[in-house]
Amino acid sequence: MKMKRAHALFLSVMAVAAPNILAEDFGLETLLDDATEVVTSSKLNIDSTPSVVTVLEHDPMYLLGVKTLFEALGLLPGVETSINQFGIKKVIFRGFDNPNNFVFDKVKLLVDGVAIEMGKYGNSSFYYDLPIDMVERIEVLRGPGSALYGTGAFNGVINVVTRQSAGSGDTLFAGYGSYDYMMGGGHVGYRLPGGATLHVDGYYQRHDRRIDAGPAYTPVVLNRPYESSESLKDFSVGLTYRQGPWIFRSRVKNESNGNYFGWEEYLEERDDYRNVHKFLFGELEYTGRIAAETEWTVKLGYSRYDFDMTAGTYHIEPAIPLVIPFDIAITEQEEKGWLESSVNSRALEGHDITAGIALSSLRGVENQLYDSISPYGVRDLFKEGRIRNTYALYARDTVKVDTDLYALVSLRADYYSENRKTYPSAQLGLVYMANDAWHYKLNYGHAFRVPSWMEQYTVEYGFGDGTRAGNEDLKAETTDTIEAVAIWNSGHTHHLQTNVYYSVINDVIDIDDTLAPASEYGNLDRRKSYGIEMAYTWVTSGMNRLHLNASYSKTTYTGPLLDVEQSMPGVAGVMFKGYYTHYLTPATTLSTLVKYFGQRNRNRDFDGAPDGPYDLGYSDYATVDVTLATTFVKGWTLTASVKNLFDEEIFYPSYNATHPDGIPRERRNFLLQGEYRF
Amino acid sequence: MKRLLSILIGLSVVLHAYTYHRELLQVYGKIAPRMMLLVGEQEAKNKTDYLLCILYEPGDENHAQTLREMMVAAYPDGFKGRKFRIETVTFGHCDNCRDADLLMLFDTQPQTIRRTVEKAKARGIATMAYSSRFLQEGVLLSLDLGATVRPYINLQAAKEGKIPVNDVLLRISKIYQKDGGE
Repeated sequence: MKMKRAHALFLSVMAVAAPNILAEDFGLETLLDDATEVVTSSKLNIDSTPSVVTVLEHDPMYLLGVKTLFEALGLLPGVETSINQFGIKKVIFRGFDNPNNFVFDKVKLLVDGVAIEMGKYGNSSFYYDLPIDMVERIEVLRGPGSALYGTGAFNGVINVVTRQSAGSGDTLFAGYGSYDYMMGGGHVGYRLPGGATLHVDGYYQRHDRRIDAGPAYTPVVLNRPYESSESLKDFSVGLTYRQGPWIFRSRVKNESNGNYFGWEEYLEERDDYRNVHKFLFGELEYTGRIAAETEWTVKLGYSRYDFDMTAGTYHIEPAIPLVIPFDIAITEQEEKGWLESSVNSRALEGHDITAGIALSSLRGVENQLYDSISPYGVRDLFKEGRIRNTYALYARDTVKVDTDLYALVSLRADYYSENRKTYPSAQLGLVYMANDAWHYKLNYGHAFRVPSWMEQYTVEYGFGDGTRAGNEDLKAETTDTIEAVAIWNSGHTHHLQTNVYYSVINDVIDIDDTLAPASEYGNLDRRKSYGIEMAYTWVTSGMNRLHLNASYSKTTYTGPLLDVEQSMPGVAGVMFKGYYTHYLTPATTLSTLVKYFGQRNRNRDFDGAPDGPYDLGYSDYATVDVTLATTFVKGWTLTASVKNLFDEEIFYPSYNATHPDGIPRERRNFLLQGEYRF
Repeated sequence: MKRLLSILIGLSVVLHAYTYHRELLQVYGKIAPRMMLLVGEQEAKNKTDYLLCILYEPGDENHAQTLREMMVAAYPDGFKGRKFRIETVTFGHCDNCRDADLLMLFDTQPQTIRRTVEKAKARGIATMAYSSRFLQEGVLLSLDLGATVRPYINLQAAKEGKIPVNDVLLRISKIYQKDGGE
């Protein structure tokens, strides 16, 4: 019936069609092919591609009062954001955390396509404070991504596209909020002679956040309030220069912060900026057309990471009793160079093929550890002179099997000269577009993470050294995930997506004190995770937007001490998140953001009897944030947010269950933000 | 405080601020002028000067200007002997576009879209929306962002506005139907 009606309409329109225009070539089909490329690369058609990606856009996040990249990631289904006692930020996808080996990420962070990572910890925590004002969009892959991004893209990939890099207009922005938070910055673009463009951005932010911890957080009397030390000073400057087929992008970021609740979860006397991270990268890219529908891209890049940390902690002998304060200092520098060359071709009908080679060399420049209590003095933290050379080959093909069926085959092999091992990665995907309303996806991924230098090469000098010996024989941990997705779209108004997944990690790299004294890192038993994620979005005709998501995950964990399988400690199995943005007037929105995190279990290895009742956990909590945003006068937008409106008590898991209630987090606080687009 | 709030709301009543993807604006910047040539009156075959009006709400002026600049940059000399004039006009002043060949509609409230479309139909002017959701309000054209990007055409709107559509455009387009489906 529908077809008949469409046909009748078609004929009636054709009756008035202009025959002379028919003969002319308007090149529309070529233009649409180019448009498809742009839309696909900017993830605007993700429901129709085999990859399972979620995109967070700047403007909706801004209207919600989201302040940083870290906060934004917490909006996603199946993603939990947390910090440890030392302020290291964790982004946990689908329950896969390392409760002991807590500073090593299982997701890979890229900024404008450049990996933010370090060999020492395999961690990119220091980049998560990036203000949302700098971000055009965040593309998030939940699940294995090594087939495209190599090591570290283990259980997720986060690609941040900055507004400067996207050429997203000229903007100035500023923010002010609780804990003396102040932030300001902007991004501008220039057209240069010869058709070149230069886009530059920068920001500076600071705060002096302190959270009441109480005397339980120190074994001595402090000459200052018993508060965490979370002060932050952070700035970054970036640029993108484009000239014909050439692009040069660079960014420097410098972040200094306090030591939060202390090295071993005990507050220290000093509360200044004791943790400094500096990261610099530069990448030159050339893209040239070598045939009608075939392009060649080559990238040459360099990055450098500098880390400088001092901390004060305590040696405690409860039996005597004796408490001896002492200091620790760690410095580390490393640098990385890379060269990547790839060819992308759509010349073969129905295929979008990319194949390439990637070479990288990560070099430890220097690293040192010092403490004021042991007899070992200044020494290497991990073995000096580390060089990690990688040679990778990859190929990826998106195949149009039929008009409503697309397949993805992606394969990659990474050879590590350091231990002469090759790690394969794969991604296989299908998307079936049954009709306008229903799309289905099926995905399989295999990924790996090579050990960080800390896990592999830490030197333990003897009793009282305070470090854990690395294990040079560690294998990379690998993961396999299968995922099924159903997407329902109704009249551009309702969008419902359901993901069901099952993952396993083999050769889990974790701390295993039972292996001492030879080493204290090992490849442990497999861990499994399965779960379901649902996300529903409703955009009304008046552009009001309701988004709800819910996730359930069950992740297993077997600690090395008790060898008892338990649910992953410190991770919420159930999460609900939702927001509603309502246009009070056409230019004023009122947004409400609600997040609920279910109970997080404690680690039985450290707290609780292995066979006894085990209902102790960190309490569930819910927060409500409210944001009023208004656009007035030309180009100005102001937002006012109250976060944690109902002043809910929030606790993050305490490392080794040192503090029974957990680590306290922010109570009710406010944020004002302003943006001027010109 | 109440006074300040009243002023803020009062100011914002006349403004809109919706969200746009720069990449998608770029796509429209290249495609919209080309599609303008493929819809419209029979006389279009001899026409050499075309007017494309971008209609926007005041809060979206920067985005409208950006799109205009993109169109001008994509077609500095027009296309195949045809000259393009690109204007940016607020929805409130859409009567200034009575000679337009295509109205490119930014996001706004649905009743504003319906009002604009009625005026456009009465004058036989084609309309194209940034958001394909507005096809349901009677807009003629948009883009469908599926596995491939395709023009999205509301044939009912073409018929009601007596706007002829090029057969090549019809062949490669997705046809909009009010009750969903293709």
